[in-house]
Amino acid sequence: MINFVTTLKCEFMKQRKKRNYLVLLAVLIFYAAYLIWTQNGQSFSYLHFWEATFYDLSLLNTLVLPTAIGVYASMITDLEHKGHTFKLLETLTTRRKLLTAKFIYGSIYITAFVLLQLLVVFVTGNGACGVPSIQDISRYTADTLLVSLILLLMHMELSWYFVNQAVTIIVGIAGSFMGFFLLFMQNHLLYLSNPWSLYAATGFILMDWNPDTRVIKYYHGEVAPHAHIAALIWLSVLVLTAIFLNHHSEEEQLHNRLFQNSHRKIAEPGRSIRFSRLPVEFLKLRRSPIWSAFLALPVISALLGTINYTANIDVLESKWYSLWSQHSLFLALLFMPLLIASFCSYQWHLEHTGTNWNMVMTATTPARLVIGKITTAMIFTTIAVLWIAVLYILSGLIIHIDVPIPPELPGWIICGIIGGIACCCVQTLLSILIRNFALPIGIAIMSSLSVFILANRIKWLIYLDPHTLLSLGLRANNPEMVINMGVFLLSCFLWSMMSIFISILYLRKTDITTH
Amino acid sequence: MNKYIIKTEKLCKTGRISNIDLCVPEGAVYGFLGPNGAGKTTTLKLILGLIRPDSGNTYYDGVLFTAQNRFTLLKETGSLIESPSYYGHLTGTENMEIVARMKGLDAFDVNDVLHEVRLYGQKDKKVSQYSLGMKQRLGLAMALLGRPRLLILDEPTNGLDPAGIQEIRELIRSLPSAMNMTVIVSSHMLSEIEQMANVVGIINNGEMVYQGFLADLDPQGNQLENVFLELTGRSESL
Repeated sequence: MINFVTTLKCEFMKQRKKRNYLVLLAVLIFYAAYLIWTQNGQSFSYLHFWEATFYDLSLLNTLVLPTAIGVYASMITDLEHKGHTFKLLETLTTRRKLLTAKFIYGSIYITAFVLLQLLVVFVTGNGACGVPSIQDISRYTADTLLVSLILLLMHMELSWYFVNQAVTIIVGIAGSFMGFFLLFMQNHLLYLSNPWSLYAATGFILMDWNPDTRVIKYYHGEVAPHAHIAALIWLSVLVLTAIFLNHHSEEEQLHNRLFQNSHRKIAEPGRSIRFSRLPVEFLKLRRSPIWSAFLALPVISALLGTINYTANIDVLESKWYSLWSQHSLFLALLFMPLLIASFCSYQWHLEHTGTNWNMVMTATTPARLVIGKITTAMIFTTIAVLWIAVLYILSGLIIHIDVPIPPELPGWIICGIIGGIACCCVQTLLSILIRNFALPIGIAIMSSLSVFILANRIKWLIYLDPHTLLSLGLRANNPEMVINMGVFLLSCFLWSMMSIFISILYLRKTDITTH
Repeated sequence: MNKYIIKTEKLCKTGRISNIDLCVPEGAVYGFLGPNGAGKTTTLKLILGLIRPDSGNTYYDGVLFTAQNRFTLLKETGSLIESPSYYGHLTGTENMEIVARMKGLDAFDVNDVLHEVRLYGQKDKKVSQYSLGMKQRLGLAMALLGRPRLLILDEPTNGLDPAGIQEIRELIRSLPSAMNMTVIVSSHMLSEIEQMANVVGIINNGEMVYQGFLADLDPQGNQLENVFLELTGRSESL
């Protein structure tokens, strides 16, 4: 049996040429762009420059890092599933050592990421505003690192036990979503009840906004008491899970016991075969519950949105319209694009696996394959958008909004669906071109986040990015906004057609590669 | 010799094969022999249009194979290339169903084919839990689905046990008469080809070194093994 140091060294060798760090690098570039952008535009009170920066950073971390770390962890682990290497590796070392080696490998990059993030902050802060106190710097670094490592460990374990990498990525997306949304709740217990809010919960800068003078004040204070204790509890729970679950060496037995019991029911020999009437792309999705996220995320969003609406009812005065933004803003702007991206990635991942291209390309045509998969993604997107509308009306009725439902709602829904279709088409193209599961999702994240941040300054950008067309159609950030319908429809049409055309052409013209 | 169901003309793929003229008579079991890395799989992939040739043509029944008519011509072709293709999270039946649906076939055939490759008892198990041999049988079943006129099998007995090998060999041998099929079967196992094929093509280093009836290969009655090693220059295989 090889020792731990060798296992770790092997980890570095395995990950060569994988360029996993690009995910973290993209996040860094995004941070830099965001910091440069906000610092140029806003009239900062220079007295509180660093306090404001640290405050912003904890919000950004909550929003971006859970998903980014999920994607990163999945990239590190997935190569073992893809190459079926466990059966070899377990003859050489133990699962515990393997997982530890992977975790340490990932931690090194995460640490580098946190340090580089600080560097980015200093460089973009360009020294004009003095230097933050050593205490603040070290506290921020330590907290960010601690929370990032907790999330890394969690996602490592998820991508380790669930061969289907969609699980860890969906959890990452849901985590970003929950963490970010809970920030607006101001409830300490909610902060500590999940690992994703910890970036904000461990924060040490508080913000005070005076609605009369419109002055924002930043000051030192505790965001959530006991946040560090909560973080340590999360860490120990995850470490114990890792130790316990890797105790048994019979990988298959464990796996069966944990996740595959439900499949026993299916084996009833002697049953005659009857074809279901579902389209063939639906058949491929059987027993992978990824589609359930299309129903679950709107529910979370509706719940949190309604709670937030009732809590701030004195500020949110436009009744149904205010409720609509509460329900749909983050969902449509960020999380639906990510969900669509994950779904498309998953669909094409099925074909990129093993020698499946050999079978698929002899049994069907590229056009049918592409259209089939896009249609499937479109159907789920449509269901999700309709579901958002249903939940919206229900919540409004439950909390007794005493004016009629906005007559514009059907229009929002239809435009939202059209925008969502463009997103499905573009992600389909990306998932065909890129064999990696996580990378197309990363592109969707970066794209929708950049537009989310930059849209205030460059108005036309929201019409240009295929990932924001969904939220634009839904008027998610401002229900009363008037959109240029011609440009919107043209953009949707061009993105969709171009993606479908290139996808089919690409599959027709290039040699298939397996493995 | 009767007409060719598959005929290629100077098929080239840079760095892998050059000037392959493959002629497969209808109703034959065509044994495609060559050392590892000689270009067997590349040739078969070219015939199926899975990769595109740099030059040269393929004719199906005398009809030029193009990107446009590719799918029409492939409707009557079943294939198993490299290793079996499958969706691991689905059962054997569900996998078969997907292939059948993509090819536009009905359900009846699925049961028959699963019986033929002796996978019927395992059909409701998830394919990720199949053994290598069972996956190979599933791949064969997918290829046989719809009773194609032409069957292209790339090392079909990989991973099968001796009984399985014999069983599949008998099945392949019976296909031309029982089902009116033509079979192209590639292998580096000489004894296997010797027992199944009546026409052989031998490929080495990307070039065809012999093609014709097995019986004509060596009238002196030498072992096929010696002839093969002679033709492939006793070169070290990859």
